[in-house]
Amino acid sequence: MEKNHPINFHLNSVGLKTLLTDKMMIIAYLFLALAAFGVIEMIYERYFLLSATAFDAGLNPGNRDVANAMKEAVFGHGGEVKREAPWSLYIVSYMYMIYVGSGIIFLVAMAELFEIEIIVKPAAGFLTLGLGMLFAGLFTIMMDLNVLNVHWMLLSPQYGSGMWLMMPLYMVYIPLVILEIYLILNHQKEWIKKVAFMIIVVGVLVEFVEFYVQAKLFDMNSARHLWTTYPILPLYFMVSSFAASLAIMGLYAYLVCKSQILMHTLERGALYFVLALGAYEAIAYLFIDKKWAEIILFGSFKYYFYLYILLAVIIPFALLFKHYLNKYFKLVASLSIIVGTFLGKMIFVYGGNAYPMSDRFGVGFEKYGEYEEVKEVIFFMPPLSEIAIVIGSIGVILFIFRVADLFFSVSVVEDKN
Amino acid sequence: MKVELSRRKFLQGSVALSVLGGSLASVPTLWAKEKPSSNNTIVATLCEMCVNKCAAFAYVEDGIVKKLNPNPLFPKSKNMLCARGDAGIHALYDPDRLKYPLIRIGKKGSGEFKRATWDEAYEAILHGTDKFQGLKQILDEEENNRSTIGFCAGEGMGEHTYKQFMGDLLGSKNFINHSSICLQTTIAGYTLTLGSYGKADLENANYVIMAGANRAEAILTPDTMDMFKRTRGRGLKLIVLDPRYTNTAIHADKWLGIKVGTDLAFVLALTYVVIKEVLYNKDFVEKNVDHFETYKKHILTNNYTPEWAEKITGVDAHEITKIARDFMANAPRAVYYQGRRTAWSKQDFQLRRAQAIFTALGGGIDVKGGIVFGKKLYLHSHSVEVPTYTTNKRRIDRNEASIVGKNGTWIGFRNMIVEDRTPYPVRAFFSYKQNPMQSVPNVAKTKTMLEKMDLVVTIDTMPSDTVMMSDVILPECTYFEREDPVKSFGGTQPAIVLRNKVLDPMYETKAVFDILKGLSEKISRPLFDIAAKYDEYIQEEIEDSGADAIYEDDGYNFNNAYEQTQEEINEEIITSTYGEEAYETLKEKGVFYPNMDKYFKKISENEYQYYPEDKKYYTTPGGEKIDVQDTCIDEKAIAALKKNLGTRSGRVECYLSSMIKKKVDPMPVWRDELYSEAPKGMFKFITGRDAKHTQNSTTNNIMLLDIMKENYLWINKAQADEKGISHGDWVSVKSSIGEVKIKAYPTIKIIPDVVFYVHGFGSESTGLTFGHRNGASDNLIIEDTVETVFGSAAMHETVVDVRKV
Amino acid sequence: MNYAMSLDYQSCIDCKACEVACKEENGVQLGADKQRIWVTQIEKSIFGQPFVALHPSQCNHCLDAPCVDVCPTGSSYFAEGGIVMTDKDLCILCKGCMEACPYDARFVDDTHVAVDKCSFCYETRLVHGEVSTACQATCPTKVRLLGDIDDEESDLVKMLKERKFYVLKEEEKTVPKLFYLLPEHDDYYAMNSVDPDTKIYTWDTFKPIIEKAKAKRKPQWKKIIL
Repeated sequence: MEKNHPINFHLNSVGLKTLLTDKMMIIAYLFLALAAFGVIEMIYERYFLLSATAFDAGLNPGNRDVANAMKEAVFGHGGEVKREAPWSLYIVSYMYMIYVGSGIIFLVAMAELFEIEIIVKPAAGFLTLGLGMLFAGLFTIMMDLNVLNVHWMLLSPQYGSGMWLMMPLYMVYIPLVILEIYLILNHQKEWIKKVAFMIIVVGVLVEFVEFYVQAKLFDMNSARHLWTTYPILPLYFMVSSFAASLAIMGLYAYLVCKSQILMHTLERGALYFVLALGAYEAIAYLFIDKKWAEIILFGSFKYYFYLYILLAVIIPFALLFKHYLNKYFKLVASLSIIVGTFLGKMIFVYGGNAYPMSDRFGVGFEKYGEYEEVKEVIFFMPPLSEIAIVIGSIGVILFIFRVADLFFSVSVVEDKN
Repeated sequence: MKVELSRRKFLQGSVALSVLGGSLASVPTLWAKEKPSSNNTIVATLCEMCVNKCAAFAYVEDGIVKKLNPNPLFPKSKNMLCARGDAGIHALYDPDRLKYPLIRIGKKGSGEFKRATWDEAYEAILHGTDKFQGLKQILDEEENNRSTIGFCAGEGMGEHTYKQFMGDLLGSKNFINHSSICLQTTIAGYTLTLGSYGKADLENANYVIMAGANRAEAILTPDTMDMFKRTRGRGLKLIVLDPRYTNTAIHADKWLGIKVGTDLAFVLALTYVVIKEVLYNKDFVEKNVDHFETYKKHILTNNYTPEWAEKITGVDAHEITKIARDFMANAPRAVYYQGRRTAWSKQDFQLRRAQAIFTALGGGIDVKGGIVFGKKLYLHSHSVEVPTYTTNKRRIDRNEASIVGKNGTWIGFRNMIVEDRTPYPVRAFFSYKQNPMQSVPNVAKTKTMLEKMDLVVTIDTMPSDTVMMSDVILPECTYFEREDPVKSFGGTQPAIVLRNKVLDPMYETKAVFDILKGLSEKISRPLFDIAAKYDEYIQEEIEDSGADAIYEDDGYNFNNAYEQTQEEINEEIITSTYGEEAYETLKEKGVFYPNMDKYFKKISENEYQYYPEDKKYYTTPGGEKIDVQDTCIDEKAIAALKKNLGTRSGRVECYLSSMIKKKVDPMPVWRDELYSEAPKGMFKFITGRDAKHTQNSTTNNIMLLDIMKENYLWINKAQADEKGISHGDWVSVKSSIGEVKIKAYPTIKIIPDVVFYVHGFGSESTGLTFGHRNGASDNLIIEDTVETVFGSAAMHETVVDVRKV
Repeated sequence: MNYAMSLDYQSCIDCKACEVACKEENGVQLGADKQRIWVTQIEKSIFGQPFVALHPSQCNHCLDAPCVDVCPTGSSYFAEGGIVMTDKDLCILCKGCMEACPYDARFVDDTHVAVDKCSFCYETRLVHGEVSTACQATCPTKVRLLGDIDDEESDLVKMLKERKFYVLKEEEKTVPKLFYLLPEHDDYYAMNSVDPDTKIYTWDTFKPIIEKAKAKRKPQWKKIIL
C-alpha cells in the first residue's frame, strides 16, 4: 500500500476499498460478524425475550404471550445467568484479553526503558496490539454487563469495589498507551524516553494496581475459596499473563515482523514465565482450599486441568528449553501457550464456581426440590451467543490493529536510526 | 411490540403495588376498620384450591387480585395458606380458563368446539345439535325416566346447589360423587363404629399412629398445623406406617415401612397385644364398648399375634408389641389416626373399623387428646320446593356393593354402563367440578362411558380431560368471582365462614348457582311437558288443578328455587340465627363465631387464641356429631343403619350384626384370600399426594408447577440400581390395563417391591398449555378393583412392571 | 432497628408455601432458579435408614455482607433496619454480589435485567410497620419469626433468649442474621441436620458479635427510597 510519508507521523490516505478488501480486515470482519451475531442474540434474549413474573398473569389475563413466557420460565432453560455460576466465559475472555494486552504494554514499556532495541523497534505495533486486546476485553465485559445501567458507575461510584476501580484504572491507562503510541510514531526519541520513563513509572504502577484490583475483584468473593486461597493472586495473574503476552508477541514477530530473532528473544522470555507458571501452580495447589482443589485436580475438572498444564507449561517447555532453531517449534509453542493460558483462566473462573454454595449446614449439598438431583459440581455450558461474542472479540483486536496500521503504519519497523 | 407492552405493564403493576401500601396492611389494621383507598379493597374469602377451605384475605388493586394472605381469624385454618392457597391467584388468572360456553362441533373428544352464547348453550342442552341429542329427545324416548341422566360432582361449596338441581329438581337418582374414590370406607368405618368420623385432637394427643396418612404432604387443616409444631420430642410422639418415607415420616419418632395393603394385620396385632396383656382402658371399655367380649374372643382365637403380623406386614413383632404398649401407656391421649384418603385394599373398611376400635380400647374417644366430635354452630338449611315424579327409576348401581349410598360407586356405576349391564339406558351425563377422566381408575373405561353418552354437559373452570369429552361446556367462574353458601365448621373450636365475592366474574363465566338458574329458565317448562306426557301422577294432578298451577306451585318450575340470589339466601340464613352483626362480620372478616371479639386474641406474631381453653369443645356428652368437611358419605344412610343396630347410645360397635345379611364381616377379620403380594420382579403400585398440588386440579397452575414441575416414579434405590435405572431416566410402568412413561426417582425413601407416583399429572387435554402431557396419570394404570362393602375404588391393588426405556 | 429472623426449621414440612407466598407478594420472576427464598432437602441413609433434613432459607441480611462491598454502583446496599437491599435501577449486572454471597441468595431477575433477592418484604410490609414477611405469615407450622434484635422485648429476642441457635457458614465472617433454632428435644435431628462442629450460640454469646458488626457497618446504612 502506498504511504504518503513513511517516516514521519502522518495519516495515510486509505481508500474505502482497501478498508473493505484488505485480507486482514476481511478476517477481522468475519470475526466481528460472529460477534455481531452473538450480540444480537444476547440483546434479544436479555432485553426482548418476554419473561414472566408472578404478577404477569393477573396483569394480562388470558394473554397468550404471557402464557408462553410463563411456560418458558418454568419448563425452559432458565434464563441467561445461572445463579450458581454467575461469572462465565465473558469474564474469562475479559480477564484474558485485559491481562495479556496490558502485559504486552508493560513488557514493551520495560523494553523502552532498558533500551532493548529488538523490542523497541516494533514497539508501536506491539502497543497497538496490546491496546487492541484491551479493547477486546472491554468489549466482552460490556456485553456481559447491563449496558443500559453502566452510567451509574460514574453517577454512583463505590470506591471500595474492585469492580468499580476498573473504570478509573482504564480511564488513566488507555490514554497513556495511546499517548505512547503517538509519541513513538512521531519519532520523538527524546520524548519517548522521557515519556516512556513516565509511562513506565505510571504504567508499572497502574499495572500493579490493575493486577491488584483484578485479584481484589476475585478475592472479595470470600465464599469462593479457590479465589481467596490462591497464594499471592496478583502475582499469579502476572506470571500467567506475561507468558501469554510473550507468546502473542512472538506470534506477532513471526506473522507481522517476520523476524525470527525477535521471535526467538520473545520465546526465551516466554519460557521463563512458563516455568514460573508451572512452579506457581504446583505450589499454589498446596494452599488452595481442598474442596476446590479436589474438584480441579481429581474431580470433574481434572482433564481440563491436565490439558491446561500440558498446553501452557509442558509443551512450550519441551519445545523451547533447547535452542531449537525451527521456527515451527516456536510457532507451536506460542499457540500452545496462548490456548493453554486461556484454558487456565477458564479453569480459574469456572473452578471458582465449581464447588456449590449449597452446603450451607455442613451436612452435605442441598437440593432445592425433592425430585432434583444433588449438584456436587457446578458447571454450565455458556450459551451460543456468549461463545460467539468471545470468539468474535478477536475481531476487535484485528480491526483496531489493522486500522491503526493502515492509517498510521504502526507495524512498520523503521531501521533509519 | 407485544413484548414491550407486557413489560411496561408489568412495571406499572409493580410500582402500583408499592404505592398501594396501606392496603397491604396487617390484620390489626383491619381490626381498626381502616378503609383502604378507593381502588384497593381487601375481601375476606375462602380458599378453594383444595377441600380445606382456609380463610384468606384477597388484596385487590385496580380490579386485580394481587395477593392472598392468610386470614388469622379462622380457627380451622389458623392463620396459614399453603402453596396452593397462595397460588390461587393463578387459578383465577390461568390463561387456559374456560371463558365462554362452548358447543361441540367435531368428533367427541376431538377438542373441536365453537364459542356460544349462554342461551345457545342452554338451547343445545335442551334440543341437541346435529352432533348430539338434547335432553328433550332423550327424556321423551326414555318416557321421562329422569335417572337416564347420570350426574357427578367434585367436592366444593357449590356441590349442594348442583346436586339439588340435578337430583331434587330434575329428578335423577344417578348421582355419583368423589366418595367412592375418596375416603368413603374410612368415614363409614368410623361412623359405624364410633358414631362419627370425628377429628383427631392433634393439638393435645401425646401418641399418634399415622398409617398411610401423610399430613405433611396431604395438608389438612388444622391437623397439619397442630401436629408438626409438636413433633420431634415436643409432646406428640409420632409413629408413621407407610411404604414411603414421606415428609410426615421424617417427623416421626418411628417410621415403619409397612408392606402395601397389610395395615389391617398390623392393627389386629396391636389389638391382640392390648387384649392379651390387658392394657386397655377397662373402665372405658366396660361403659362404652359394645360386644367387647365377643371381639376379645375373636382376636384371641384368631391368634392375631405380632409374630403372625410380622410375616404379613414386614413390621418387626417386637416393634408391634412396643407400639401397642406405648399407645396404651399414653391413652386416652393416644390416637390411631383415622386417615383421609381413598380405600387402598379390598379390606379397607375392616381396617378402619379395627383402627377405630383400637383407639377406643384406650379410651381416646370424645376426650381431649383423642378423637373428638366437637360442636357445630347451627345454620338452618335453605329449602326449595321439590317436584314429584313417579317415572324416575332407582339408581343403577345399588347392587354393585353391599352398601351403596346416595353417592354411589363410581367404578360400579361406570362399569355397568360400559359393560351394558344397566337396567335402563343412562344416556346423558352431567359433570360439575369433577374430572373422572383423571380421577377414576381405568381411564379407558371412563372414556368409553362418556363416548356412549348421547349428551355430556360439563360445568368447570378449566378444560380438563373430562371437559374435552363434553358436548356442551358451561364455564364456571372461580371461587374469587362468586359468593358461596355460608358454611359452619364444627370441631373443638367451631366457626362459621363465608366465601365473599372478590370480583365480578371474568369473561362470560358464571357461578354454578347462576348457571343453573339460566338453565332452569330454558328447560323447566319443556321438561315439565314431557313429564306430564308420561307421568301418571302428574297427569292426575293436572286434571285436578291445571297444568300451569301444578307447574308453578309444585316445584316443576325450577326457577322458583332461584328467586333469591345466593347473597340474599346467605343473609337470611345468618341473620335469622345470629343477627345482623354476625352477617356484617362475615362480610367483612369472613369468619364468625359467638364471642369472637372477646375470645380471639393475638398472642404473638405467629400465634392466636380462638377460644379460651375452657371454652373448647373437647367432650360433647350429647354425642353431637361433627360434620366432616366434605360429605363423603351419606350420613343419613349411615345413621339409619346405626339406628337399626340400636347404637344411639353412642357405644363403640365391635360387632355389627346388621352386616351379616349384607355378607360383610361383623368384626374386623384378616382375609388371606383378599391379599396378595406382588409376583417376583413386579411391583405394587401406590399413589398419593404432594403438598404442592391438589389432585388433578392444579396441574395447569403455573405457580405450582414452578415449585413442582412434574411427577416422578419412586422406586427403591437398590432395585433401580439392579435395573440400571438412574435419576431422571425414562421408565415404562405397565399394568394389566395400561402403560405410562415417566421419569424415575430412585430413592431410599421407598421400600422394595413398591413403586409410587403422585396423582394428578399427565393430562391429555390440549386445552392445558402447561399441564398437557406433563408427567404421568396414575389412573391410566390403576386397575378398577373395588372393595366390596361400599364399592369404593381399591387403589393399591395394582401390580406393575417397570422397565427402562 | 435491626431486623433479623429466626427459623425453627425442625417444624418445616417442605410444603413450599413460603416460596409461593414470596413470589406472589413480591412479583418475583417465575422459574425454579428464580427464588428469593427456598426450602432444601438433604437426603441420606443413616445405618440403612432414610434420613431427610429440610432447610428453609433465604438471604441472611448479613451485618457484614460481602455482597455490598463488591458492588460498583451501590445497587447492593445496607439499608436502615440492617437489611441488605438491592436497587435494581442501579444494577449493571456485574454479578459480583452473586459471586460474593456464600449463601447463593441472589439471582438475576430477567424482567429487570438486574440482581434480585429477599428484602424481608420491606416494600410490602416493613415499610408499613408490619414486622412480618409473606413467608412467615403463610407458613402452616410457623417456622419463621421476623423481629427487631435491637428490641430486647421483641418476640424474636425473647425466642433467642429461650433457644439455642446457630448461623450459616460462620467461617465466612459475614455475621448473618438468619438464626437457626437448634431442635431442643430431637438430638438425632439436631445432630444430622447441621454439622456437629457448628458453633452453637445463645443470645448472650451472639449479641456481642452483632454489636461489633453493627458498629462497623451502621454508618453505611442508608435510607430506602422506593
